[in-house]
Parts: sequence; structure tokens; C-alpha cells
Amino acid sequence: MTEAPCEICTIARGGGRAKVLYNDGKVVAFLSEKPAVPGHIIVAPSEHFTIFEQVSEQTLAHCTKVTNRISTSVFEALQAQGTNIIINNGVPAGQEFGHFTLSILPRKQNDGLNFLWPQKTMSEEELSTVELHLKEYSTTMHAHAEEHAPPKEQKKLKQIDKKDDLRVRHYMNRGA
Amino acid sequence: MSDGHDHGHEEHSHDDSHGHDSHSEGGGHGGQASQLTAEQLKNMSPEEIRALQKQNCIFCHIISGRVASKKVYEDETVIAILDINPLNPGHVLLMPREHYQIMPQIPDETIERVFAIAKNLSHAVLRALQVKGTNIFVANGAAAGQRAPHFMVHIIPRKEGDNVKIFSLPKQSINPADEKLIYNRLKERINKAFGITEKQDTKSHSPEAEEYHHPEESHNPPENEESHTSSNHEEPTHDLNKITSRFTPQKKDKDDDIDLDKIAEMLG
Ligand SMILES: [Zn+2]
Ligand SMILES: [Zn+2]
Repeated sequence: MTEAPCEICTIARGGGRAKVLYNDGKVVAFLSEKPAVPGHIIVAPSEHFTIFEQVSEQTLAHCTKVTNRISTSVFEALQAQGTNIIINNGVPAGQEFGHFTLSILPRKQNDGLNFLWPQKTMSEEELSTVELHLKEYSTTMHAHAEEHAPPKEQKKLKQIDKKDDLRVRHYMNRGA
Repeated sequence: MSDGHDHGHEEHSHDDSHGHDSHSEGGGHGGQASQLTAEQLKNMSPEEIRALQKQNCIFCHIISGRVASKKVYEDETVIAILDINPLNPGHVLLMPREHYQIMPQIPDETIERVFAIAKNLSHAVLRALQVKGTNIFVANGAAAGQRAPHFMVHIIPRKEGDNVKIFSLPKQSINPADEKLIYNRLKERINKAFGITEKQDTKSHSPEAEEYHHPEESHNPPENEESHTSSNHEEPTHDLNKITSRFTPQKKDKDDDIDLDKIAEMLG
């Protein structure tokens, strides 16, 4: 295996030619070089984590906040009518970087993307089987999550102000 | 909400007093709200819209227990159920108990909690279903493919060769002029959202942020941005395996029979 430098780590440190939109030293956001749609933004923790499950609680909390703030900005900045937030986690899920990332896709009607999938129908028994399997692992999550609850951020990010909600609604409804 | 995908899954016998049987997001639950005209919706305040949607939201009824569901996780903030019309078996819908339509409406603490639980559920899915990946998917707005009136995060188990194509995103090339325009618009709005002022935006941030340079500061076209990298002293040489191995073993539960390192290593 080659020791190629991680592309995302490089960008987080200010290297490379990425169009960086935000970098606070913990999270970096930049324009995708090969966007799925115009304005496709990639958000990543500066620290190197490969897959979702490995991202520390505190880092994920910060990533989430920044992602929500940026995806809210996209409505007004690009006249988007919607956004997708996508994590492709693991090779079979289409993960492309060896560094955990989230994608923000600004969406417009008839922009060529389509996330309406054909729906599989599952029988009650099939569903119950999956439910049981999952519960075996998910029921212990609560205690675990409490235990590892992220400490409060020292510096609070600016809250989304009420007007943002109205603005977002305005752009979303334009296509309705 | 423009939908047109209401398949009406009568075969499912969920106890739904409102006549909706499916709680799949794909099941066309624009709810009764979709019967209002766009004009009427536009004239309503966000509060009125929220109240109306909550009243007609199948997922709020699932959360309150009035409609049956296959709950795989719940706590005081969130609930996770199986999508009865999954993209793949084990498709989980995770949502805040509180009714929000889209992510921008959700307070920081709640959305942080939702994603923390999404991570744990993703891990649970990898272990329970012995899959090697997950897609985490959020749609905000009908134009983005949102089909449920209640904000939710999809956690979709993925296997090699499962024939799911929608998350293989197209890769477009974009001309530099358009990219520059998009970049400038986004940068301006994002700076505003974070309260960043162009000149001294690094002072309120952690020290590492000082390595970051705004392309606008020196009015260079994007092509010349490499010139900014000269201040990047640290050599980013990362051994992925070494680094990922730092994060996994010590946190591993005894019954953790899925090897995250293996999944991570598949990425090279
Ligand atoms: Zn990295
Ligand atoms: Zn609801």
C-alpha cells in the first residue's frame, strides 16, 4: 500500500488547490472538483478519520453544526430549492476519499439528479427479523451515547437566526 | 410538495386512523398538507405551516404511538424505525421527536444529537446485518427528493453488488468562470452565516485556522491559488492504516464482531 498523502488532510491544512469555503481548524468545507451539481460542497473534519463510525463525538457534533449552517446558506447563495446531505460510508456505499466526508448538494427541480428509489416491499416477517437483529445492537446505544456525550463547545457558533428559516422557505417554495 | 409517488401500501396493516398505511418516506406522505395549493402554503406563517404539518404528519403519529412501527431505537430526543419500503433491507429512518420539516429549522443541540445517533445506528447496522457500508441520506425540500413531511435521516445498509446506483454521484466538470461565481456567492453567504469578517476572520478561531487563506484577499483568479500553499509547512504524509488503527481498537465492545478497520482499509 502506498503512503500517498491524504487529499482531504492536505486541504484541511491549507494545501492543494481546493476552493475552500470554510476552515476553522477543526472542520473544512470546499467545492467539489467534480460536482454532482453546481455548488456541490464537501465538508470534512480536519482530523483524519476514515469512516463515519470512527469520527469522535465532539468532532461529529462540530461537523454537523457546520454542515447545517452551510447547507442553510446554500438556499440564498445559489437560489437552491432544496439540499441533500449525503455520507457515503465505506466502499460498497460509494465512498471516494480515504477520509470521512459529508456532501452538501444544492438542489433545483429538474437538475438531473434523482434520489427517488424503487421501493422494495418487505413482509411483516422479514421486517420483524431485521428489527430483532438491529435491536440486539441498538438497544445498548442509549447508555453508550450518554456516556460519550460531547462536552459543550467552548465557543458557540452563531445560531441560525429566525430569518434564515423564512429565507429558506422562500427559496424552497419558489419551485412549488 | 410535488410528489406523485403515492403507491398506497394497503397490504401493510399498520394501525393508522388516518388511512395512511405506509410510513416509508417514499410512500407519498405529503399528508393532507399537500392538498393545499402552493398559493395557500405561501401565505402561511412558518408557525402555521408547522402546526398544520404536525397535525397531519404520519411520523408524528408514529412517534406518539398512535401508528404502529418497527422501532429500532428511541430516546428522549429521537426515534428510529424501519422503513417498511426500504431501499435495502435494514433501511432505518431516524428522526427527531419534535416535528421539523427540514434541517435548517433544527436547533444545534438536536441536530448534533440526531447525527450522533445516526453514527451509532450506522455502526449497529454494520454489525447486525454484516454489511460493509452505509449511506446516510437527508433530503431537504421536494426538489431534493424529500417525500415525508417530517425531517429524517436515512441510514441505508450497503453491500457490494446490491445494485443501488443512486449514491454513485455524477461527476460534472464545471468551467472556471462559473465555479468562481458560485464560489464567491457561497463564500459571502457562508461568511455571513458564521459571522466571519473577511479581514480578521482568523482571530475568533482556533490557531490552526491561521493557515487558511481567503482567495479573495489577493484578487487572484482561482488558477493562482496554489501560490497560497507556500505557507503549508507540515508535510501531510499519512499512513491510513496507522491512523485509522488509532481510533478503533480501544473503543471496541466485546460483541463487536464487525471489523471497522477492515471496512476502512477497503478505502486504501
Ligand atoms: Zn485525511
Ligand atoms: Zn412530524
